[in-house]
Amino acid sequence: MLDTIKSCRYRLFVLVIVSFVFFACGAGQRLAGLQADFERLYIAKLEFKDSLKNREAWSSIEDIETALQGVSLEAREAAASKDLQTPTKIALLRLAMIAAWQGKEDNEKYVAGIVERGRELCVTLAPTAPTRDCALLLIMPSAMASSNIPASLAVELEESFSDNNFNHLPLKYKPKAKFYFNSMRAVFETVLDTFANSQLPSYLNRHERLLNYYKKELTHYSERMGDARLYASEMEGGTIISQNEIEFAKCSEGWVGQVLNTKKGEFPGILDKSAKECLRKLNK
Amino acid sequence: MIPVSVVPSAITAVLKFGRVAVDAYEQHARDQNILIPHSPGGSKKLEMQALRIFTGTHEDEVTPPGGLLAPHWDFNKNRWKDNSESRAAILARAEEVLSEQGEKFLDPGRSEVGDYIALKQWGENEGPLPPMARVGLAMVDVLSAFVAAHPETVGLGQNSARFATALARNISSLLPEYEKAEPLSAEEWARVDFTDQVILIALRAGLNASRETVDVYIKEEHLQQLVLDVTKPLVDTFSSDMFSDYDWRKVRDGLLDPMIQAAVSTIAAHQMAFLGQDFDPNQAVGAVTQTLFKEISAAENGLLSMMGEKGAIRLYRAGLNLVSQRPDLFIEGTANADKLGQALIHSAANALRSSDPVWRADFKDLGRELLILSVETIDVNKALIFSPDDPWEELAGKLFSEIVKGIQQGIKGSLERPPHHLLVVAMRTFLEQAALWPEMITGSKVRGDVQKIVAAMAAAMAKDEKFLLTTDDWPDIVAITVYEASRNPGRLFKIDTSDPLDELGAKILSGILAAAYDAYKVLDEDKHKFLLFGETLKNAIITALQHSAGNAKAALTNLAALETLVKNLNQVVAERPDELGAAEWQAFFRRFVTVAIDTGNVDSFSVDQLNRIINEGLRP
Repeated sequence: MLDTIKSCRYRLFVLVIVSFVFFACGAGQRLAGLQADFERLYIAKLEFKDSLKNREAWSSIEDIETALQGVSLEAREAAASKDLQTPTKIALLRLAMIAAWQGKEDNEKYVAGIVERGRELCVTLAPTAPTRDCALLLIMPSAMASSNIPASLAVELEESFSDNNFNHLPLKYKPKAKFYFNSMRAVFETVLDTFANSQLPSYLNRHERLLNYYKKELTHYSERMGDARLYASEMEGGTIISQNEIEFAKCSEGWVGQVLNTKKGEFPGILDKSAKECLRKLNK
Repeated sequence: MIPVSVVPSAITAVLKFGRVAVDAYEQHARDQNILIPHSPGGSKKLEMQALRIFTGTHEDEVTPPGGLLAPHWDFNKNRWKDNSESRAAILARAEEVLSEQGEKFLDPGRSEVGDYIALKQWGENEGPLPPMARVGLAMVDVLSAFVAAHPETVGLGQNSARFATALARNISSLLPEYEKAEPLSAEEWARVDFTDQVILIALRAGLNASRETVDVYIKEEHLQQLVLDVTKPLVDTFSSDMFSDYDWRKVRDGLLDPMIQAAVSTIAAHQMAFLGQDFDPNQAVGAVTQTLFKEISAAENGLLSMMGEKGAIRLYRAGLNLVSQRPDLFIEGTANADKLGQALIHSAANALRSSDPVWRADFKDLGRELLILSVETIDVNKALIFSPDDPWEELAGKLFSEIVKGIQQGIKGSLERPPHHLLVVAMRTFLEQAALWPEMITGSKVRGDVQKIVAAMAAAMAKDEKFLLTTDDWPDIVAITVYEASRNPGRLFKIDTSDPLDELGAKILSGILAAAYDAYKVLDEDKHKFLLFGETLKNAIITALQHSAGNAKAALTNLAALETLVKNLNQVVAERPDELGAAEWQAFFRRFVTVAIDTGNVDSFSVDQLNRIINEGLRP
């Protein structure tokens, strides 16, 4: 056995095999490496915001976000490689999109390009498309839109409303209240349209944790929409949004309640019709 | 040093494995859990939440006239009324709503960045085979192909090694394609989950069985087919039946191991049968296996509930033995081998199923044994010849039904039931002997006196409460009874539907036993003087049956004389214990049984006459 190991032919054989495996595994390694980079940066961002812990590694949160944008760009470029398996391309595009979201990428065209390409690939693989990655490509644009509404705006509006003893929002907040409501309305238009016209319900049927994630996301949107509707309709001097918009907002909040009560395997049920009905109310 | 001839195979094997491993690694990278951020939530102040809830989704609760909270709501101000009671009522309900929605009320914190979760690519039992499973299967596949091509490299040569290789080669036919990373359906996942254990159990059972057959060389192609014949029907049956309530995992865990062992030992014992050219025994083995699973899962009276695991395995073993012992029965021309194998097990199970439910419950172990004996009768009795048109595969079921009915008739009205082991021993002999006579069992037909002989035997056994006859004696009595009944049809037992216990054979059996019991009871304190038991009693019965078969008419007329002979002999030997023993009893019986049966002249063997003969020194 020792003689075998010492022989040149054996060593050459092992070298060839190891080299083959090393180079062939490149695609998987690239994805795993980028994913690890993203998670390291994302955790750093959370820690930077929440405490002083590990702050010395980064001078500002913008630095971290720039690095996240770099990960997004690399992932998008990697996904363009022809040698990759389609599910791997989808995974890279999903990573590019999340990294862009967390990196506060403001180039909407860039993000839309990633989403569009990812969704195209998912359609080619349906019904064997990777559940999580394809679902996230459908869910994330709404999450990004919701996150892009400054939280400070919501805080300011809420405090003013509370200071006024929950009666009316002072008139000077009219532009901000209008912006807040319109932003949330856009989020819900995307959410409802995506649900009614994509594979999302079938993905939710197959993945309990994904469904819980989606429900929690919707709960967050619904809370914000409820607040936005309240500020806009309880302005001094009367509501600043149309009755259609109020109806749409209430319908959307009710739709979220229905989703929360729907279990895995029961989608879409009547939820796609309900979603379309809400959208019709808006355009009436 | 690795031989040069092995290198090309090794490179091919490694490249094949490498390709799957690379794909699997890529799959691992994209399917691993990832962190997904949540979007930031809304305001958390309870008052805000309450206003949002009751002006939105729960507006009906504050709207008159039906809203329960309407008395607390001010519609002009669109908020709760300006008193502490209304505020408390509205906020309490808001908390309930938030709780129902799974929300935790946190006041007054906000989380701008939000939290995150780790999310895996696929839901439960969704997605393709896990990367490690694909790598493992590829490794097994590649290694088995390499080892099969170059067994000298690892020194294989035992049955166990060949079995492992055979199993490895079949894995791909049991599991979904491992080389592809396409997601599996829920059904395929259930199959993977189920088959995973099937492979492990099969490997363990096969290795154990192979060790026990170390003296026999089993060809790998036979082992391969055997693995497929036993495991695939189970996996396929599970796959097609996975939504039923039947717990196939219990069957897998309880039966697969002994079934594999039974199959390996059968194949080892009957290699020649599996090398035959006339038919494909594997076809029949697969059919027997598949039918066993079907009968096990039958909606009512499944095989397991009727026979237990051990019984089912023994029936399976009997079926396999039949396939290998009597390949002539499966030769094409009568029907396809697989259909015959199915019909054999199905008709046997149906016979047990359609037997009297009370009897089946009371005689569970006996029923199981009798059914297996019935199948084995076809197996071990090569004398059974079937014409091409005979549905021989139904014979086991018919034999079983006849025996069961015979036993039921025989013990009807008896206070004591014969011990089951005695009945089993007797019926085994009965079937072995009966099968030797084509007139009694031919093709699918069973002659009318078969049931009667069984009834007579069962009745006699039921009468033998003190066990004067043992498991050594009954088989001989049964054998002679069948022999005489076969070569003298209609004498000892008529071939019609009359009462079986009214037949000459039954009367001789019960008459001699009754006479023996009378003597036994009389000698209450002096049991040592009693001789008519065991071999003596057996020989008396056999002698009487043999003489009666030749002169049935006289025997029927003179049954009383036969009983008198037995009684008188018992009395004489009891009175003269120091002079007469078992040999003398038998000698006197042989001397006078012809007189008793042929003439009925009791004077020639009265007690006085017997004593006189002895006193005159004319000992037998």
